[in-house]
Amino acid sequence: MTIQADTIKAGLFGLCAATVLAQPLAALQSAPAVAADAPVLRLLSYNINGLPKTLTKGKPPLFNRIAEILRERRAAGTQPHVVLLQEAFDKRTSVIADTTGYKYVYKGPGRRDTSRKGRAHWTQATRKAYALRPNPQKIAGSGLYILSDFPIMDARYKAFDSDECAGFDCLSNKAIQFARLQTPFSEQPIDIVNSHFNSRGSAKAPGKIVLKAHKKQTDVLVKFLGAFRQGYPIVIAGDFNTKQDKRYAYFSESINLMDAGKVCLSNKAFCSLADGTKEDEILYRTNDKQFYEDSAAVRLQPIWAARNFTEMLDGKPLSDHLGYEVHYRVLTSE
Amino acid sequence: MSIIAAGSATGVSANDVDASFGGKPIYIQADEFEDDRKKDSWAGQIGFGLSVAPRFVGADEHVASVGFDLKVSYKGTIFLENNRIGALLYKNRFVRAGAIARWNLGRIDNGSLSLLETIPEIDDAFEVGIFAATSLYKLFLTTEIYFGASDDFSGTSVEVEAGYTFEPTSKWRVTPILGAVWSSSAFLDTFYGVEEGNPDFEAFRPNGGLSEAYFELATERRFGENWLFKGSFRFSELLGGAADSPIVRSAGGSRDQLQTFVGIVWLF
Repeated sequence: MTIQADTIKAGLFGLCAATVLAQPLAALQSAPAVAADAPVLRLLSYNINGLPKTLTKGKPPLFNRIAEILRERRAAGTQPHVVLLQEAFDKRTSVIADTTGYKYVYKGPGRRDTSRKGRAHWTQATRKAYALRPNPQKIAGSGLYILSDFPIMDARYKAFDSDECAGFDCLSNKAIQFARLQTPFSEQPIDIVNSHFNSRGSAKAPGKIVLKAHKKQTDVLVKFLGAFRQGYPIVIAGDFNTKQDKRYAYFSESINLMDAGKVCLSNKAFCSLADGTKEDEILYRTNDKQFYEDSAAVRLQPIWAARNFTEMLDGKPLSDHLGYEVHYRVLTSE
Repeated sequence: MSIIAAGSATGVSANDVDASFGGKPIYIQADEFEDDRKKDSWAGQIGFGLSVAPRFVGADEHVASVGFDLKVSYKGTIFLENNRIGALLYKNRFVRAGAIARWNLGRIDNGSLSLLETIPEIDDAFEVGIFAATSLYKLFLTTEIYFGASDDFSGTSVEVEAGYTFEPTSKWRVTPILGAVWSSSAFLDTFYGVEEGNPDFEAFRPNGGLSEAYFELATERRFGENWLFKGSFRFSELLGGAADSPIVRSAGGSRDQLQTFVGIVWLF
């Protein structure tokens, strides 16, 4: 049996990375900055509040402005390399995907890419069978997009089954997007996951039911992460609706990845916040989250975080969420 | 909006990324993960319990008996629901429609008709028809139209009902339903008409029209993965030609009709 030098290097790097991660955060804060010239992956997650046009008015100027900002950033060379959008239900949000210079677009499942009927769908067995639908009725698609400067080598999705949602959220085909990007930063690809989990208050369903649905969605994410991952580094970002403590605890314990915001705030020697970004906006007062995990050969290090897209247009915010952008230094042992 | 500058303290560095692309993006096709969750072709439920119903349509007397509840569907297309069988033939985003048949039990002399000896039995018979349904979220609206398909049993009836399913808890559903039945004069005459020369009742030929309005409360309480407690309580008021029938207005008849079922249901 021969052992490749790369394998040994990767193993050593993994051991080092694991050692670093196992250290108390206080120790990490005092650690010296490493590889300052290493490449940086810029990743934006943004719930753009693009509800179906029948439910809203006056949205296109906001979508256009979001697209314009991304174009301005591209012109300045500071565009996020990867943009994850949520709530892009309105067809007019496609201006963001189509005009901002991203070469690769992965649109999440649409309304017809229906999720499957679960075992306890609320219409089951209640009345006449023909009034029931073999697949859940969806009024809108997933509202998810992944925009990428980098080739997408593999794209998968899993739409939540009908017993994995609650309340009005069931009307959209909520899903999880999985993408594998080949970046120029490392030989190993980087896995990206985008999703929008069940809301709480706006679902208009009893608290226990929405909490149960949220837990099921977390279980689905964990299950299909296991099916998708092949040992590459990963960033999971989106609107996970984890502002509630119980939801965050179950979600973070289940996926068992690093919360980029927490890591950033715990490593101020490495990581800074954008001007105007408050700590609680990336920790507790938000449903927008980014989680990540290194691989044996590639380490991701959050070095900057921002709640951006704070601009007002004619007195209106661009969305009811802020953008959540994290920059990851990509350190390789390759 | 904060736009970060390249090379600033934010950690942005000049990466080897081609940012010059300005054309139409390449849309990536994605595959759905195969899921190993079981999806049966057959689905349904069998229940038994206690049912209460009028001795015949329009009767004042109600009787309790062992009740059964059977619903079976195959691939969501062919279904059997107690005395009805049907097939889904058309479906789109909002509407589902198809053919349906109903086994109408008629009116049988089981001894109870001794009070109404001059009212004839009505043989059981098939009615055939069509149905259409629409639903939005937990709101549903269904229509069934039946046509008598035998010599003894003619006429047309149309049933329309709407309901909404509430979920007070994750294991408990409550569905209030409002419905109405329109019947042709021929249909009403079968059950409510009286021939000339009847010694007990004056002759009566009902006109077609709205013949029944009802309120139903259906509830389910799940107590196991495949088990439910089920209850339905339906209160009907006979209207128009049905309500005016001498049979219904007699001492043995009533405009108020109650149908209930309480039982245990096994889902499969």
